[in-house]
Amino acid sequence: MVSITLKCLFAIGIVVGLFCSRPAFSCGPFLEQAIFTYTLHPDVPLTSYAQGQLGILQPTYAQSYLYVAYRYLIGIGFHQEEQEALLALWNERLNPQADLRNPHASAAMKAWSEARARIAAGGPPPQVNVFKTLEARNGRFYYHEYVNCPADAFLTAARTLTERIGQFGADSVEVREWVRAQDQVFSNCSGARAIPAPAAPQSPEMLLKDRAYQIAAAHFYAGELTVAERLFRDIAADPASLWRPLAPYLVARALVRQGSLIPHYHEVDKAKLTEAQQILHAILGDNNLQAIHPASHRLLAVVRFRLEPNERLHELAQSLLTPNIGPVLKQQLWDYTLLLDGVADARQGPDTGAARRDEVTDWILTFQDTGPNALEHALGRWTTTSALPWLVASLAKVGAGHPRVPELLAAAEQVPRQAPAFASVTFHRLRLLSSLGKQDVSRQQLDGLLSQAEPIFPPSARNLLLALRLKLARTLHEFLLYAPRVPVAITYNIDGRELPEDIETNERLKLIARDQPLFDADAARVLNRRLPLDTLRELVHRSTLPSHLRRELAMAVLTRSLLLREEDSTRDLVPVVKTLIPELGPSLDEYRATISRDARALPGSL
Amino acid sequence: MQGQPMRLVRPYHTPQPNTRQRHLGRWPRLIVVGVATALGALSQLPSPAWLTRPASEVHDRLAAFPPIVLWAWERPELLDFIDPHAIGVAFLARSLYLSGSGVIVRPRLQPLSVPQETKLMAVVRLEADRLRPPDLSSQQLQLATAAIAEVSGVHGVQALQVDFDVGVSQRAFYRDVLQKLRRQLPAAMPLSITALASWCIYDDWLTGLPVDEVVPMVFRMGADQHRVRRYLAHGEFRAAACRHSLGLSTDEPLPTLRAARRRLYLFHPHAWRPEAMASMFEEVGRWSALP
Repeated sequence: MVSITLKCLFAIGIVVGLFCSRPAFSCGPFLEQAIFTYTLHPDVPLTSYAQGQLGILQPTYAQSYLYVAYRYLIGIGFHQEEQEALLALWNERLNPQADLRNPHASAAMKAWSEARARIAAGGPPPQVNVFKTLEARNGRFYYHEYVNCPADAFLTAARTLTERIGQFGADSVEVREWVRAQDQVFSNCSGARAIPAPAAPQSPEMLLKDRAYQIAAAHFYAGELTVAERLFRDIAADPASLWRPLAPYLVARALVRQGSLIPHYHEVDKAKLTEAQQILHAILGDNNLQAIHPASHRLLAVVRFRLEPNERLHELAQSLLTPNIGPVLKQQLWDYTLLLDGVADARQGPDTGAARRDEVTDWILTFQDTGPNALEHALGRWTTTSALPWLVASLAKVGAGHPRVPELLAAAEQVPRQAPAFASVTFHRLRLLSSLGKQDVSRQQLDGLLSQAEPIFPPSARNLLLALRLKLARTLHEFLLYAPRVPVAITYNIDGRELPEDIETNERLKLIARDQPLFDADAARVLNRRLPLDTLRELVHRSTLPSHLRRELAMAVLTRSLLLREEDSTRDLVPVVKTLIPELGPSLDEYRATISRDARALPGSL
Repeated sequence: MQGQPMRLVRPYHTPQPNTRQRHLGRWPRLIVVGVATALGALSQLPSPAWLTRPASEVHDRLAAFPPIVLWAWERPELLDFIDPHAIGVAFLARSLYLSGSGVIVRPRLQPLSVPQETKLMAVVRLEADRLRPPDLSSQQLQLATAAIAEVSGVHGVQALQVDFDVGVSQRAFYRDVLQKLRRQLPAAMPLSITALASWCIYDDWLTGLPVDEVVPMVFRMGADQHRVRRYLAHGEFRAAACRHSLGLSTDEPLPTLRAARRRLYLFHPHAWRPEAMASMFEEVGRWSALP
């Protein structure tokens, strides 16, 4: 008896293993996972989502995706340029190393390296590390790194060197001295302080002015910011300096660093930042300084971020709902979500009321919130505004027993098929109908949706529909029809980002045919735990399943049958298993040839 | 820019918490008793006895390191409230991306603040670049090792931890990195590595690695989660190297391991706050008291 029980358990274990929702060969410390519905981000590639194919929105999506959803839900789409900005942002976030390959930054460094390489007499160009450490020991240990030398510095240096080569020649003493000074400037990016000496008084005036600028820049990168500020102010006041038009911006930058590079998190020097803000406003009001307006706009955004984060969050929430704001969308959304992270982190503590004054922020925080109050808040907002985003949020959170479900269902039915909200609204409507005992209606509509190649249901959403439909299966045939699903990703998910592996470059993963359906956990659970052997055997005989799944099913059911010593079942299964898995033929023939019942069970089990 | 430990980024860039998924888990048992309930005002109170007892079975180089270590991942971590004599901090100092034949270095761009006496462990996380899979060449080995070793020079860092969820095909490379790294580090500098829990159970490839500590991470285990937890419900890690420490997360259940003296590394998915730490300590205290 004990032996039989153990064998049954063993058999079940094998069956469970065979029916697991990941590919059958997976084993070992790194397991391939089949993801059927993304939870952290929409389906990849994200192009379709950026174009407004939202699918079924998940509360676990990162904020940037929910912002995009909100904008589509209120009827403001994204132009091509904006969609590209969104994709660039997501690419950097999903591949954190990508921004280290920032084309702009790489191009800047490359430009400088190439220009510098032309000065053979200057020796090999020193390697530059753009990061510097901010470290303090004042009773505490404070530490982080920051970008000390941005891309613009290298572009400016490359451009200037090229000009000086044109003016004085690559082999000239003047250019060699200029390069030596510039190498010193960049050595401050991460290394010890190195300030170039003033140029010889007899040098051409242009080089005297260049040197003054290099000295100021060296102080700046060395972290001697008050000195740098003073020197940049001197340049701004020097009518003979070529650097004069740029100098006010550099004064502002020196002030911004003084105001924000402080070894106390959240602490800023408001006076310095306010002064920087005033200078930047002055620059932006001066038409003669239009060349530095774009950079000044960007720096002003940094100042606002640091100086008044709550107000900046508000500004960004408003700006991000402006139609066609262009490529600035990327930086604005980046800053907005960074600020929003701070709010979200504080969600369980301090009041988030100030942030929620903006509808988009309120909606994102509510949609992400799985707490008990979020549904009532969403319903309240829907009542007040009748806005589609709040209908979506309410439907996504509500259970069938809630008294307002009939209203929600009625409103959901009015959402047109072309609307970006259609997939979310429809899924939740059908989910609720199923729970309310209207399975026939739900089943019929699901069949209608699944029988069409609806682009409004991307693969993740389609798998959710299939899962819902599986719950409503009335027959084995229906079960087999809706159980297999094509995974949206096969991944090791080592970094937790739910990104598919590149199957083409992975020998193990090549064993998985692209676009092949597999069983998700719900179907595997039924097969492993709910169905008796006779029913499983019946499933093997049906040809409804794709052949690879039918093979796995046949193998698992045969194993179960052998371990349970179900002779009749085994006899019935052997021919079909031989057909499906010809390589097992010799073993099965050997089994048949074995005489005794116990002897048959043993080789089969082994 | 590939092939050298070079870095170019936009100014004022800070990495987004949105994409930070991974990291660290929940619970070991250090000793004894439900003292942890007294930890309410942790920042002000003396540490309970179970916090201050040294882990006994770790290598000598780590003997002075506290038995509880908070992982400070890349987000603003202001840990001024900890008792530096009872709690250490392992902070993500930089991330390396093995990309093509090169190594891309991303430094810590978010602030860390701790009491000055805190025992600090610098963590270096390695990842294989999805966009350009690594060639695992000797050049890459050289670059990666140098970039890891570099953080041991950060003032105040007393130990180094490498975090690399290495694939089977990358193990030989990782082993070489660790061996080379050990030779480059000061002799007294402890070297710790994190390990997927499955490494400690299914196939012990960790034996013989030149490290002072292997920290099995019993959280964020993905598809392995149930299997690992079931395994641990009935016994100890198969790999001996994994029995002296444990990585736990505040948002996942503690494993059902038997009581033993381990150094605990605690991960919190948000910035640490006194309440989160106190709550975790309370839970650990209860767990440690289990028979």
